[in-house]
Amino acid sequence: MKKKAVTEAGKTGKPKYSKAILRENRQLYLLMLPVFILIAIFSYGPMFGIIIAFQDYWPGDPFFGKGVHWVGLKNFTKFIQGEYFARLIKNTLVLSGLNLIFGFTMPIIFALLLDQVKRPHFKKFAQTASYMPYFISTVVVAGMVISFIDINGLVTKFLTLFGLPNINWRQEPSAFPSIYTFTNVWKTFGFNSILYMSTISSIDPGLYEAAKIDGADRFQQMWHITLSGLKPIIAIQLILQIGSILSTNSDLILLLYTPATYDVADVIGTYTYRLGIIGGEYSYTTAAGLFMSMIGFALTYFSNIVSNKLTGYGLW
Amino acid sequence: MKRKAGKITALALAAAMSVSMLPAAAFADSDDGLTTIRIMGINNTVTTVDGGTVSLQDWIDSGESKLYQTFTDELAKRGLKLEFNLIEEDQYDTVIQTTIASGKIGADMVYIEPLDDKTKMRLVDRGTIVSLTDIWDNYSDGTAKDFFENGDGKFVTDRLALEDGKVYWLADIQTSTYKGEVKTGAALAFNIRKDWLEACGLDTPTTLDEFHDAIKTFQEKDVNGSGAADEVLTMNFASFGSDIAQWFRLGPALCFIDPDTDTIQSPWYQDNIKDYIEYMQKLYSDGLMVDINNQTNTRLAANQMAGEANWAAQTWEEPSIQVQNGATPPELEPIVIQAEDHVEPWVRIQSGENLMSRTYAVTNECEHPEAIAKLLDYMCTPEYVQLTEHGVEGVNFEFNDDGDYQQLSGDDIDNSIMSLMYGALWSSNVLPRMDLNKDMSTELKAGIQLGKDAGLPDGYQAKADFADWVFTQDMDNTVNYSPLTMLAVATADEADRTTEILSDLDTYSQELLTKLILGQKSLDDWDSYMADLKRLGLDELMGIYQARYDRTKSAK
Repeated sequence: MKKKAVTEAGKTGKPKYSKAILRENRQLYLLMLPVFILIAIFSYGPMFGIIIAFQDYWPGDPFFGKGVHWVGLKNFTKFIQGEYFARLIKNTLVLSGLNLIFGFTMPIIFALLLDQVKRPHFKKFAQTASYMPYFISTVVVAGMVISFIDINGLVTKFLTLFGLPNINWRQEPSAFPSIYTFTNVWKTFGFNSILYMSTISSIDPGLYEAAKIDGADRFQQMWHITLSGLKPIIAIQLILQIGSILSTNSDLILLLYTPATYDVADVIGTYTYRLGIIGGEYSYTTAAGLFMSMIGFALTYFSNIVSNKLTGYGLW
Repeated sequence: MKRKAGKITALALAAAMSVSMLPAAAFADSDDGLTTIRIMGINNTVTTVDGGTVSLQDWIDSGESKLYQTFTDELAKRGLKLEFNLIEEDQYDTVIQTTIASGKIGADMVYIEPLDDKTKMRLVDRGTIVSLTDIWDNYSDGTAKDFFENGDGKFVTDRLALEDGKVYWLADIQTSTYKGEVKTGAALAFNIRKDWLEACGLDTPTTLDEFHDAIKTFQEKDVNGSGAADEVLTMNFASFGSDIAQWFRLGPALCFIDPDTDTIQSPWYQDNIKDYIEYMQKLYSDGLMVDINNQTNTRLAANQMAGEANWAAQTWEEPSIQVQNGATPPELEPIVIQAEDHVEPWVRIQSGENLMSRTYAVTNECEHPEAIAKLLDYMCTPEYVQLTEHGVEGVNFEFNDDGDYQQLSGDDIDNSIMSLMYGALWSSNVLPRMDLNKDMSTELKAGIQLGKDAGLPDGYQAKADFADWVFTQDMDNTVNYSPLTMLAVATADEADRTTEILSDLDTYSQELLTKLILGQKSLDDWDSYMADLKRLGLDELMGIYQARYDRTKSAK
């Protein structure tokens, strides 16, 4: 996408960001201005704070100058050599991987299916119903899930019809990845499909008519036109998802996990929460977060290269 | 015309904004001759007798509270005025930590419980929080100084003084006796549904088998009428403070003060721990017990709770239990069962000199330490204790024929929240609670009455009988429920090492205990678990706590 913009600018001979272009699009830039300010203040501004990963920091200590206690890579070493490091990485990758497989593909499949619905009222209803769960608080969703999977819960009773035991599934480690993934996907697939649906709606209808005339059936149209039109946005979204593979929905895990499921549910986010917020180990948890961010950045970088090579689309 | 209208609107808005600032400016500049103490704490909320909630800020702002009016009048007599910065409870942890990090607290006195001891000591080193010992040494009229150095508050100084011998933060204090004879705090116990026992024609269980069978009977007879076998015990599997563990004479925490040896011990090293785990496994596998995981209120409201570990004299759970119209009012009865032959069970109790975990400090932004001294002098008086723990005579309480405090009911805003259990809304999480010279027997009498008010002919007599038994006959078989509050403050090195050890040891211990009870780990691998606990530093942690306890004992 970025490559095309440069080419177009090169073709017209105008510089990319000339005053004329800025003036022409001033309303768009003004629309973006609050977002830029927000990101500058809350994302870039505090970024220097990651320096505490290399210090023995306590609230109120200065970040630089006199009174700073530098410890080098001690916090990173402590994290990597920690008792639960391997487990945390494994759990994070497994839960994120499941989220990638199901949480990434489900919105696309849903968007494709919804695009095939011809009745406008039902289509609108289905779309609205699909993204309503996104606006339900995670705490409420977790409370509902806990009730459903309780020993006398709705889902537990339903599962006994298929021969599964009548147990409290929240205490069952083997069930946690499924419960977490299902809940996460249920909550987000509708909202995440909005992007794909809006992209689909921007595809030229003439292409579909031409394909119909050429004898393409519904699935061939979906494959060759709809999915092709979605390719750029799928590539971008996939790159971003891979980059955040070491991040999980820690809020949901915090609400659903118990000591019985720590060995499959305890991820980097929940571990650092227990230590950082409850234990007051700010430097240690910042080092853990920085470690994850560096890996995430590397993954984003390399997946962008691969995407550019394979599909021609990328973030940059 | 449109331009003119727009200009006029803009001018009017600007004028309105300017005028609105004047009252604030007026309050900031007012001079009533009183010294203001700025306090930062939690905006406490409490459930009223009619089921509503009221927050401290609302209560103050209502202007209807005679209790609060009396408090402010007393402060004014001493030349003081309080200004509160109240933060919602769920936000307080984040607010206090970021406020401290910003370096500008904006308060003279601040509630610092969310900060661990190491952070508190850093604040002392930096001078962010100041010595209370210096304040009462230099400015007290003698009341606070005598109280904390020679009087009923001496144990506070013994436990909270740092290596320089000075106290830098205070905690909620509770001193209590039973009928003035036994120095003790409240007792905890496992509570079972007495109304369900009666509905099933069962006596109070006295053995482990009877206890197991009682819960089983609750389910078989469907006492809550739900149609499902959902009458369960709600337990925190990861905690040793289950009261059932104490039936096996196990300690209530990862490390605790063993009253038999007066040393630090761990339940993992005690003799009966495997028997405890096996019994809990049986309760769980028979579907009689669930892990709470913050679901207690849900279970209470759904009338599913058959029993839980709680304060023996508590009266706040029963109102939350929703029973059918016309059903017997719910009642939780504390019980103790001897689980092992020749082994007396323990009962968890508070110490008679109890230091809570809620802590408060004076900051270096305080420009009037003499005002803090005056406040502390007032807080150490019996009048303040009576005001905060009982209220205003004739409005919130009166003395009965026995000379005991008798709480009054009525529509008064204070009577909807004042309770012998809670104290005034500003007492605790805002200012240190001074719950002094409490007679537990008075609390029990009030509890009995609450039960009568709830419709039980004998009230909560069972709770009172249990407490009487513990305090008069069984004090040799009690164990402190919160051992860490009995220890002297850790040194910087001890705090460092404790944090390092606990980060993984706590996770391992909780996980191990839970998985053993659930049957996900086998008792056959016991030796490897003990080796892991040692490797993660359990012995070293016990050594650190022992050193702190030794300092506490030598300070007495």
